[in-house]
Amino acid sequence: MNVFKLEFKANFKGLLLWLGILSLVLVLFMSLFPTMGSDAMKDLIQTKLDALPNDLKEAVGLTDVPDFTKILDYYSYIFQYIAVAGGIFAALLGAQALVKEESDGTIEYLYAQPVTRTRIITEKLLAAAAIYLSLNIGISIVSGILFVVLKPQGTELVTVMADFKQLLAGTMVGGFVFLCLGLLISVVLKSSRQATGAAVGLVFITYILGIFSKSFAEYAGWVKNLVYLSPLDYAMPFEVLHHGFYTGRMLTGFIIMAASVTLAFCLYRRKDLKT
Amino acid sequence: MNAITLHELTKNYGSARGIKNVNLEIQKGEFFGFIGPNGAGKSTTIKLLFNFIFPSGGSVEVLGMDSIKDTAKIKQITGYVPGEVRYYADMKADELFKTTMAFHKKTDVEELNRLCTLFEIEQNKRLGELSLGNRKKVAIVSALCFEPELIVLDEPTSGLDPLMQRTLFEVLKESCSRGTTVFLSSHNLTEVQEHCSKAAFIKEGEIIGIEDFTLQQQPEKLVALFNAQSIEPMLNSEATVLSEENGKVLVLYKGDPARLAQVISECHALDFTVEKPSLETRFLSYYKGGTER
Repeated sequence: MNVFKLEFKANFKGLLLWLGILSLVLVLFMSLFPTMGSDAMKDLIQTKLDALPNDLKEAVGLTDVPDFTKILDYYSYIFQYIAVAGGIFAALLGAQALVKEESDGTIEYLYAQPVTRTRIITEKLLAAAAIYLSLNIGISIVSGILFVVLKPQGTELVTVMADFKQLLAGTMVGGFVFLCLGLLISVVLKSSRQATGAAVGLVFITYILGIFSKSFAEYAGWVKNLVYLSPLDYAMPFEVLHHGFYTGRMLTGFIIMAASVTLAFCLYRRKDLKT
Repeated sequence: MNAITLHELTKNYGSARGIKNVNLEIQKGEFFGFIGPNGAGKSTTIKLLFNFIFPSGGSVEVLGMDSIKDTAKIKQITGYVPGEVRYYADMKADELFKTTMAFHKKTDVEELNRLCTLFEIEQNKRLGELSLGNRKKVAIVSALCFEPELIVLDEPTSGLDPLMQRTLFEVLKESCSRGTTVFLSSHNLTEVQEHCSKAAFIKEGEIIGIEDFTLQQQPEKLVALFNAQSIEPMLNSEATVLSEENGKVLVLYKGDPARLAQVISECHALDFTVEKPSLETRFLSYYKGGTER
């Protein structure tokens, strides 16, 4: 597991940075939660929400009117943006996994060591997955603490955590899809910079497609199928909370993961390394 | 068994230069030089040895194993010093060595410590902070610390001070005497002539000559003829014209030394000189495309 160790270590600082920033965002937004319970705030939000056109509400994940006095309704609204950031992180992890060492030239060291290419790509994929998993574990811990501190009286922590687990699992499916697509990008593209651009672009473009699929579905039926092209929409936090998982979307996610990893492996095994 | 066997090895890089039908056999225990100007295909050949890249044709065998199928097994017993050392900048030298040892499943640090002392490695500095020469030293130690059976070095002396160059060759020769094969790619003829037992010349992707420095060869002579009436007699014997300008003709004579005086006199030159050619001259005779007649 030497490649895994190298890769995990190389990404560890990045992990701490992302975790720090995302935790801060969570803490900041969640600290506003107690004010949501006040009647004045409820009225304010309801008025604002009613004023928004339906298309826009759908676009930002407010299809069913959320009850922001419920901690998870409020949390899931914020969490969808954390999920976008997590998606970018995952895509970057995948996208940098192989091409970064080629761009930096460090691959020459690695490739002089007794490891096969299959082993290199396997361990790098596992390391990227472990880093992404660690980010989610970190976020879970921070969220757990926030739930304990902020949950309104009468809300059971056990129920909150059970729902949170679902919500996190759904988001991670999207993240892993990006990670696997990122890995494919990493095999195909020639420089680390290109890969960064492609990874970030991938997340945003698919995210926009997802918004599109929800906003314009009523004008043309086929548009709603675009949701399958948006990994972040496979399990939107708010939807998971109120509708559970959609099998078709989940399945699509797993198929994309399997296909991109298989293709990445095949291409990498036959690739001329640029040094 | 050969340490390295290249058979009709070809690599095309689209329109860019690669290598063409390279055949080469390097025996175990040899100190083998691989000489060529920049861009001749030295690094391409090395990358093929290590399966960094895949051949367009032909095959590579290293220590009796296929370079593609058995690449991990080959690297278990082969050390590599890259031409340009770009290792993990955040890592310290001793962490890199530890990683190398872990990859090779070695725990005995005696050789590692010996090499670190010999090459005066600053183990606690980050690789990114090291100078070119110091990074090279780290790469050398990293390639040798697991006591490989074959060592491949791509321009190892660039960046090293003369003292360290001497240490390097001492270490390599010592390994060689214990049966290790050394494959040294270089454009420095003097170091190849001085240290290698054999050398292959590569030019524009093709092997154009192999020199065995251990053999007593037919002594070659470098003859300069000034204002010769005719160089035909020279060309009729075994000779290569290296250059021809301003009445001065430079010829590498490979014929019978006993006949040289007569051949020169038949050329009716105004003046002439005869020297023992340096490897450099022979090298240039290969590279400048001197025509063999």
